[in-house]
Amino acid sequence: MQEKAEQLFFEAYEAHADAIFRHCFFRVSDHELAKDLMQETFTRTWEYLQNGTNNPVNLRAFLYRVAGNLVIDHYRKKKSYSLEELTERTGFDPSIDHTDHLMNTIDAKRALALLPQLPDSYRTVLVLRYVDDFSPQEIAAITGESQNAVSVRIHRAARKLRELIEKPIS
Amino acid sequence: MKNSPLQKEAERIRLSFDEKAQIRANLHVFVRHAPVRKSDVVRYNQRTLPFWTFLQTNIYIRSMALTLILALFLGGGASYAAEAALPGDILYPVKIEVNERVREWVSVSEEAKAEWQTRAVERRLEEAEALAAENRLTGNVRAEIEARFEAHANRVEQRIADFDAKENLNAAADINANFETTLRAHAAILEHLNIEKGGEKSAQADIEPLINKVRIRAAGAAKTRQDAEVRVATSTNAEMKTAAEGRLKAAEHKIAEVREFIENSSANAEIRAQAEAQLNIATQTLADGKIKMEAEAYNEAFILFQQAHRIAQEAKLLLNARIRLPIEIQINLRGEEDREDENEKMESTDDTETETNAGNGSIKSKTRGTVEVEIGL
Repeated sequence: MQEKAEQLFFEAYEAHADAIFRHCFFRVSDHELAKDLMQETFTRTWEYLQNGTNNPVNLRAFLYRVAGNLVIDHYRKKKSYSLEELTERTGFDPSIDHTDHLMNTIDAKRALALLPQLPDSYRTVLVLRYVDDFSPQEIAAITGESQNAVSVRIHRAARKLRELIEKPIS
Repeated sequence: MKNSPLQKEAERIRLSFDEKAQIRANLHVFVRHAPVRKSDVVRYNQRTLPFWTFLQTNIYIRSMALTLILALFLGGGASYAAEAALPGDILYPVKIEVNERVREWVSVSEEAKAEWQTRAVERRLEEAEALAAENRLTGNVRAEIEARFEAHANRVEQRIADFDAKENLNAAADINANFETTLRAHAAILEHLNIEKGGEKSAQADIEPLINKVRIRAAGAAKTRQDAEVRVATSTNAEMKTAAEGRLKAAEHKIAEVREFIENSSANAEIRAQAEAQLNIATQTLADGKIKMEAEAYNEAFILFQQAHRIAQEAKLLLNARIRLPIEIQINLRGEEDREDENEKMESTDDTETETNAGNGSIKSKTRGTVEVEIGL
């Protein structure tokens, strides 16, 4: 039983360690910190698997949720949320979503370099959507928000990123 | 959305092979530790309620069989009388084959079984002491006791190794602490008896070989403890904290147990006062450990809690010996100096040092005829 659990756990590590690390990296922009957060994600997940009565159905999504919470914990220690982020919570439903197009036509390298300039809530959804390739529905499940709020935030985040990219380098 | 430009670019960020392997190795260590931490707590609680555990497990079958045995053996009072039997007595086989088998059998958890085996080791040594005190320890009887002692001690060591292998470090430390203290205290008592009875050899066989066997086991247990301490000292801060917390709880339990034992003992006021004085040293050591704990010096706290545990156990064993045996044992109250000495000793891990430590349980004959037993705990 225990061996089986260990085997599954390390299979999950092989499968998702790089992606979780990458996710953390784009959230915190620090290689070493991202490594720590990734390791912590797996240790927390192991503890959960050992103690929980019901295992998560989608382990991959669960790992991202744990990683996300750890990143938030990390930021909580450093700063509070900006007003801009807080006003995001209500949201609206954009009639036509050009977001994906927006993101497909940008300079990827520059976009990633500019990610740290975005507030964490924007960064979270952009990384989950365009780096980790989750659908808005899956992101909503990971962050525990409504799909609508997530879609709105992706849209606004993409627009904001675009603005940053197009802003002439001073 | 597969392979968006962002995704392609992002994939350039990756862990190196070594980084991934390092974290994998860390996780392997964690996985081996983590489940134990949780189950430890549960098992610990269970162990404090052995009877409840017993009732929970196979209540029907066990209680039926127990009743049967009780009816067969205890009914006549033979089993009760046999508890005090010594090798060579008519009832001794009842003590070994019935009473002790039942005791072993009703120990349900692994910890309870290990505790019982430690107690069985002690019972053999108590028998040897009682016989030696009465000059009845003949060669044959000594050989029989030795054989049984070795068998029980092997089982205790096996259990400790099993706990260790399962990373149930709390249980391993608990059992090992009791085992080591038991061995050291009884080696000292036996040696004392050996000296006292040295003049009147007559039918009495030499008990030196038995003492040596006990000392070798004690050295082994000391080595196990030192290994555990080194392991704790080299673990992460969080692991160290968990380990120290485990030892704190164990030492508190032990002190409470010994306090109760002293209060309920039939010993005279003077003997009890001495035992209490020794228990106070254990309490003080525990308090020192708590201060270290607050200062987040977990490793030092761990060592002090272990020490408090052993001092308390020693107080109990010596009090017990003084009640049982017609001998005068002067307990050496250990001061600050000894404790520092102890700490130095703990830092060493090599075998030779362990052997020397085992020799610490020495007897010093004093001019006025009393004997001081120092068991180096």
